Amino acid sequence: MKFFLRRFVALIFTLLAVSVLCFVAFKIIPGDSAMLKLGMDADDAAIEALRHSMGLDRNVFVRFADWIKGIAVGDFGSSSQYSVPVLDLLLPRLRVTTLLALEAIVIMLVIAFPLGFLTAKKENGFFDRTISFLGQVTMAIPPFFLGIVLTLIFGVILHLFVPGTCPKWEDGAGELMLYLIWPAIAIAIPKISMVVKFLRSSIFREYRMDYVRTARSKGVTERNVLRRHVLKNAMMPVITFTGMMIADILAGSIVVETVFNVPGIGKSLILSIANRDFNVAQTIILYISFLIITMNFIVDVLYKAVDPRV
Amino acid sequence: MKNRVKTFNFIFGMILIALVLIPVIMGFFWMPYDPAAMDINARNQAPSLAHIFGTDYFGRDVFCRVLIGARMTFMVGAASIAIGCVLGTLVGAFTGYFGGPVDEVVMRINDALASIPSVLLALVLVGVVGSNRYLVIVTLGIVFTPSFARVARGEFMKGRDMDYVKNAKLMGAGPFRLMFVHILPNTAAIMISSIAIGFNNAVLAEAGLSYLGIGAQPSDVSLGRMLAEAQGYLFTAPWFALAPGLTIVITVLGFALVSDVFGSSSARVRGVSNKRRLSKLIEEQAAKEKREDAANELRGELVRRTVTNEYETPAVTRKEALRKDIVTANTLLEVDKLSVGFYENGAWERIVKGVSFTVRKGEIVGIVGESGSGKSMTALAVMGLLKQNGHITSGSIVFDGNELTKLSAAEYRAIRGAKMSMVFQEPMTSLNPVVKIGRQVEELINIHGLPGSGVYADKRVSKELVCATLGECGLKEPESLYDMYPHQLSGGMRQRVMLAMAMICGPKLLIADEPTTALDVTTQAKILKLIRKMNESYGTAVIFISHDLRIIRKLCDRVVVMKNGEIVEKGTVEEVFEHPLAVYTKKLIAAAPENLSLVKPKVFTEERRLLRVQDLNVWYPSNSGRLFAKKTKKMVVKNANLEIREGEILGLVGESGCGKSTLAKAVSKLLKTKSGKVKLNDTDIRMVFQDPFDSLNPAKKVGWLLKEPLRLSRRFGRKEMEKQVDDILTKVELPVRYKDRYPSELSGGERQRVAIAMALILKSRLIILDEPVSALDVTVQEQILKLLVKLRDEYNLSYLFISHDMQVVRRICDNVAVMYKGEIVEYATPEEIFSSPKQEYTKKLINAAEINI
Repeated sequence: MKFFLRRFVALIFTLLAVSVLCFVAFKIIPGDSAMLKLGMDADDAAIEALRHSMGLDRNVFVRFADWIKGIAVGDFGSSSQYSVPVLDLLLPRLRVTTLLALEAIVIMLVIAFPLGFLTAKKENGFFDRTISFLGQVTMAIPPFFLGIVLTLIFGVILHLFVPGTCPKWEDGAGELMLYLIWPAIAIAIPKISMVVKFLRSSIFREYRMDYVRTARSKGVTERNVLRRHVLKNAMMPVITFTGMMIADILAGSIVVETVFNVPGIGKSLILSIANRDFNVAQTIILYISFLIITMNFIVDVLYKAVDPRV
Repeated sequence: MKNRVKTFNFIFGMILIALVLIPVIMGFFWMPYDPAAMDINARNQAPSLAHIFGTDYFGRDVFCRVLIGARMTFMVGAASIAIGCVLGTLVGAFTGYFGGPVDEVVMRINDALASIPSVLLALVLVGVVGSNRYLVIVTLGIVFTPSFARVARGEFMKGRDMDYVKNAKLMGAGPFRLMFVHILPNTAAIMISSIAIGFNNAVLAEAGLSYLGIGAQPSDVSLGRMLAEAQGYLFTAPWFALAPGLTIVITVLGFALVSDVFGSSSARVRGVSNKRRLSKLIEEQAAKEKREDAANELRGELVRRTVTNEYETPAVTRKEALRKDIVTANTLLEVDKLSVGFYENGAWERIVKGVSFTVRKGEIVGIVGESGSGKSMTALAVMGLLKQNGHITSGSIVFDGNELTKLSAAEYRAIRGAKMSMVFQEPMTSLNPVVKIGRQVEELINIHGLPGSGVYADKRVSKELVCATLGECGLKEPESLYDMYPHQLSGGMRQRVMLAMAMICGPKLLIADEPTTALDVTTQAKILKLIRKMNESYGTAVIFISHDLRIIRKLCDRVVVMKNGEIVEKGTVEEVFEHPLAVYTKKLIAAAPENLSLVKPKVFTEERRLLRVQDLNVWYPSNSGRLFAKKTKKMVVKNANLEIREGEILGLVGESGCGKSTLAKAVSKLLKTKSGKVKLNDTDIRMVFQDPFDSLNPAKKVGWLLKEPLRLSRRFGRKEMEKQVDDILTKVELPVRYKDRYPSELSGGERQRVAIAMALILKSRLIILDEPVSALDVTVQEQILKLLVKLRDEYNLSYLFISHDMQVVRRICDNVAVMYKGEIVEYATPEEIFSSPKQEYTKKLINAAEINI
């Protein structure tokens, strides 16, 4: 319990720190948004008036407090590009991104774990070495290139989907889900390789431990040595790692969304940064970092629950 | 790195890197086309001899564009990783080495930064500040700093606690010298690996950013941007996308493969998995061994007697030393000409060479030998627990009427744990850390059924049996223990749990492999008593493996002496210990500490005090490093008083955790949290540490290590230093050519000699020896002790000799201080302490050391 509380306090502090960074990055560094809005040549009085009406002439701390208050009630400001509240702009996109992430996570989990166990059956066996090498190759492919290759093979050559035409949510969730399978695969493949590699090395590390020899000296079958002894130990670091991967997927479809032209928050982030629409960008960044930090927290707590030693 | 998989990866990786880098470098000097030149007549041409990667929409040569694009991408990657590596190493070095609250804060920030995907962070920074190539470099550099910082911090933390760093600190090396001269070279392998991985990440990140159109100016050519442009022409000119994409893949794959070789430290060993091939290999090896043995037999006894001088009097033959095994109806285990070999990387290594011995029902047979004698391998072969590449090449093992070498895996499993069980050396790692104690013990009756009947019991009955067995093994409150995890138990308790597991099925044979070596002497005595009790009350035969002759002598009925995989002598304990026939046995017995005669009582005529410790208190600040925690003191040494005169050896004995090493560190000023007086009379203090594998910097040659104290003193010229090194090597009886060797090329005893030489080279007169021989084999231990005494006599040195071994202390010291729970409870000459110990604890220690069981 004490551990939980301590981690929870740390979580709050980290979230606060990220908010401060975000505020500094988007509200302080880019310079005066009144000036940005009116241009360099605007006369000082006009700028001053706008500054006042935007509240920019107040103390930095007051501005930060106001900003946090706004976030707490869901007011993230409005998009300078589309002139609509950020939340209205992003919520439908968040829906798409979440769907994409979920598909990718499912693909990752369904493939990575069985594959990891299979490779772990025999260290340096043919299967193990083949999968390890394939893993090295897939981890070397940049996600956007993987997306392009998938588009080329399954879209251009096999005509399984039409590249660049992502159905809208309103057109039916089923069709959207079908299209999203391709970007989901592009996201999942490198993560699968990472999880398999991690799982494999974790299992082999445990196999070298003394307690495995003890188990064998008791007459435990190889099957049960793996299931009752090795896996229990090997899975703990894997839980953490998979948690990190999931957080990564939830956050990391930025590039792949652009490749497949998926109208999610990743694509919005790129567009908003390119167009200097900072309210939008800052909201997405906040969302992603909060998500990752919270996921890490959950994984930590989970780890504690599973491992008697911590 | 000698195994095939790794070498293949390394070479293949290098080829891939060369495949990309050579054309890119070539591109600086020669380009077939101007990469910017547009040719409207040659739009979107497929790859051909003229344009090997084809042309793009504007008719530009894709090959040339890939070359300059790769140039840009690699440059950004290399530059940013250089920034990240330097910054990260600095941050990691300082936080890791100094630790404390700054470390805590920096690492929290580091973790927060590292948890955010690097592309995202770079996106934000570049997006907010503006788009510019140099900014991307700096940004990526900062983005990659945390990962380097974390790696470097880990390495420097590890390094800081290494004995070789403490040693250098003691010689006066400052923190910067320690960090960058002593520790940094040892991080090379892992840093190279991190750099390769980091370079990959930087290349991927740069490509990602430029693909998204962020960071590169529109005029810049980069691989990512090319891909973004190519995406529009996937239908018409797919080669335009493939060329830059594959360039990235090949580069990244190449670096990943190469870095793998440096990264994972676990050496993969290649054995044989094909069963038919394996049995053929074993057959071949068995035939070869047979020929070798026969040849040895022919040259045989003569060679043994004269050349290796194994048996000194011609009258004594090898056959006699191997007194005949009595095979009767009582024989439980008969090992006959057992050979064990390891097949690794295409070659056999013989570990056990034709070993024969028997164990009768209910007797205790000791196997004694030094490290590498093959005693553990013999035991593991009997248990059928040889590691993956270990195989029985020839010989037979008959246990309870069954030929074990012919059993199937399932038949063997039915015997293991039920009729034959084993206790291992390391109680700390031999139990599964995440399974409850009760479940681990219970597993045996779940596999084999209840002892005697073999009936599978219900949960209640098995729990009762488990608790009863735990209780019998001397564990209190077995019911609450049932639900505990191994980490909640002390080493001695864990070894009792191991014994409970070994005994619960009522086995006929118990194999104990150095079961008490990792334990304190008083605990050791208790475990030995327990083993004897099990032997007496259940008639369980025991094979007791140990390097300690004292234990073997007290515990066993018969004994087998092993050396280099062979049995050199066997017989009853009386026969072997009273009338040893083999030279090696005699040497072993003579080297045992209780038989050493090293120091004649010394009369101190002129009382020159070198060291005086008065009312010394030492503590560790607990919860150190945590930022807001209350600082509390954990007292480790309380009110210690001692003094060392010139030429005196003061022994400091006690069990692990009693504070003896802490006292030494405080005296040598490695620890600063102390009160009281430490007065040194005109000398420096040097230390020799326990583990000779930790106390010499593995990245430096012996000569460099020996010169370090001279360099730090700044009093010697180059030639003089060389001469000093040669002299000191001769003094510690090492060949002068050893100065060009790395510590890893020396044996444990030789390293300890180097450590002693380092302590002596500046003519310090007081040396703290912190368990200097306890990691060594007995015969080596004897040599080192003799050397220490010889040096003391020659140069009138003084030692503070820290040890857990009462027998060693008794033979070597002029005075002995006994420590218990941080206090010096007794302080007198060895004679006084051993003849009339005043404290209960001292009595217990002496009793345990003499193994009165």
